[in-house]
Amino acid sequence: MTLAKDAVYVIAAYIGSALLYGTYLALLWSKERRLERGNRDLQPR
Amino acid sequence: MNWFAPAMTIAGKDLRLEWKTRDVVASVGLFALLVVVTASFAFPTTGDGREGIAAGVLWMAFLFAALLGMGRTMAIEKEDGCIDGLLTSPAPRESIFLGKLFANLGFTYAVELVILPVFIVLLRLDPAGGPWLLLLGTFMGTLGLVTVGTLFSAMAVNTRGREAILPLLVMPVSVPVMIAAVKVSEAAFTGEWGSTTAWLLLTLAYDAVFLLVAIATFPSLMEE
Amino acid sequence: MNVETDALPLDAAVLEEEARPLTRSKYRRPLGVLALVAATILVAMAFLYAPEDLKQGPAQRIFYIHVPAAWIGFMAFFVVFVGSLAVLFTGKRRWDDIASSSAEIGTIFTTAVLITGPLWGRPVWGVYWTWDPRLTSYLMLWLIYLSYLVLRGYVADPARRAKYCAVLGIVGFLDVPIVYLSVRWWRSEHPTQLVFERGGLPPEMLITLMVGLATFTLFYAYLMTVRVRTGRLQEAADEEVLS
Repeated sequence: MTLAKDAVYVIAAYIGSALLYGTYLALLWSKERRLERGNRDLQPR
Repeated sequence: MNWFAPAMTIAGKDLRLEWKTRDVVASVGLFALLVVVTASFAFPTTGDGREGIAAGVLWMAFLFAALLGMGRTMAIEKEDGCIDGLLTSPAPRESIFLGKLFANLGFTYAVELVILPVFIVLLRLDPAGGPWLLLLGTFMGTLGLVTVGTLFSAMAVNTRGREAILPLLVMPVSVPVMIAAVKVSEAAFTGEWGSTTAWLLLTLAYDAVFLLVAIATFPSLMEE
Repeated sequence: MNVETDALPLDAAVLEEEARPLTRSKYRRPLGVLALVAATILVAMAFLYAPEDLKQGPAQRIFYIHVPAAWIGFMAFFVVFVGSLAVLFTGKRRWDDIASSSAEIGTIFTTAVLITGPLWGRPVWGVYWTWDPRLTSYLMLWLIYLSYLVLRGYVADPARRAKYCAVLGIVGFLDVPIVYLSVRWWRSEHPTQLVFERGGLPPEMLITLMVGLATFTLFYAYLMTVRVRTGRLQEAADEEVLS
C-alpha cells in the first residue's frame, strides 16, 4: 500500500464528510429561509 | 394481577374468531410453508454448517409469518372498529395489549408447531440437541418477536401505509432476538451446546425488557 | 391499578400547546462560529499536529472525524430517547421537536460514520466491512434511525406522530446495547473478528481526538438550534394550511 493511495482514502473521508454535513446544512438553511418568508407548503409534511 | 382476566377475555375473543374463520392461520401458515419449501430448493441439504443455514432459514420463515399475522390481526381489529369498543370498555389499556399479544402468540405458535416438523423432514435435519431445546428456543424467541411486533402493529395500522410499515419497524429492533433464536435452533440441530445458555439468557432478557416497555408504552398509543 | 383514566396528559387528543418560540435561538450564532473555528483547528491538528500512525499509515487520520461522529451519533440517539420519554410523560410538544430533530441530525452523523468507517477499513485492514459488534450495532442504529424518520413521514396527525415516534425512540434506544451484546457473542464464536487496537494513544492523538469531540458536539448543538426551529416553523405553516 503506497502512501499516495492511502491518502486518497483520507481525502475522500474528509471531503465526503464535509460534503455530507455541508449539504445537510445548506438544505436546513434554505428550508428555514423558505418558511421564514411565509411559504405555504400545501402538503403538510 | 387484574390485567390478566380481561386480557384472556380479549385473547379468547380473537382466538375464537380465528377458530371460526381460520383467516389468519391459513394464509400465514401457507406463507410460512412456501418460504420453507422455496428456501429448501436454494439451500444445501448436505455439507458442513448446514444446520446454521437451516436455522437461519427457519427463523426467516417464522419472522415473515409472524409479521404477516400480526399485521393482519391488527388490521382486522381496525376494519371492524373493534378498537373503539375495547377502548370504551372498562378493560385497562394494558390488558388490551396483553390480549392482542396472547392472541398473536396463539396464531404464531400454532403455525410454528406445524412448520417445525415439516421443516425438519424437508431439510433432513436431526434435532440431535434435543427437541426440547428447539421448542424452548422457538417459544422464547417468538415471544420477543411478537411482543415488539404487537406493539408496533398498533402503530403501523394507523399509518398511511397501513401494515406495510410493520416489517420496517420490527426488523431492526428484532435483530438480537433473531440472532439468539437462530443460534439456539442451530444448537438444537447440531447437538453442540456451546454458548447456548448465554443465548437463552439474552432471549430472556430481551423478552423481559421489551414486554415491560410495551406494557408501559402501549396505553399512550391508544388515544383518539 | 388504574386510578387515573383521562386525567393524564397522555390521554389528551392534542399535545399540550404552549408558546414555542419561532425566533432564532440566541445561542445559535455563537455555537455556529465556535463550531466552525473548532473544525478548522481540528483539520489542522489532524494533518499537521497529530503524528502519523506507524502501523496504519496516513489513513489512520480518518479516526479524528470517524470516532467523534460515532460518539455524537450515539449521543443524538440518547437525546431522542430522553425526548421520547418526555413526550410520553409530559405530553408537551416541545419534546417531540427535540426528539425528531435529534433523530434527523443523528442520522446524518451515523451516515458519516458508516461512510468513513469503510474508508478507514479498506486501506488499513483490507476490508470495507466486517460484521464486528461495533460496526454492526452502528448499522442497526442507522436502520432504527431510518425507520424512525420513515414513521414520521407516515403519520399525519402531529399528536399521534409524536407518540408513535416516542415509542419507537424508546424501544430503539434500549435495543442498541442488546444488539451490541448479541453481535459480540455471535462473532466471538468466529475468531475472524478484527481487533481494533486500543493500546495507549500518544498524547498528540488524544488531544486531537478531544478537539474532534468538542467540534462535533458544538456542531450538533448548532444543528439542533436550526433544526428545532425549522421543525416548529414547518408545523406552524402546516397548521395554518389546515385552519
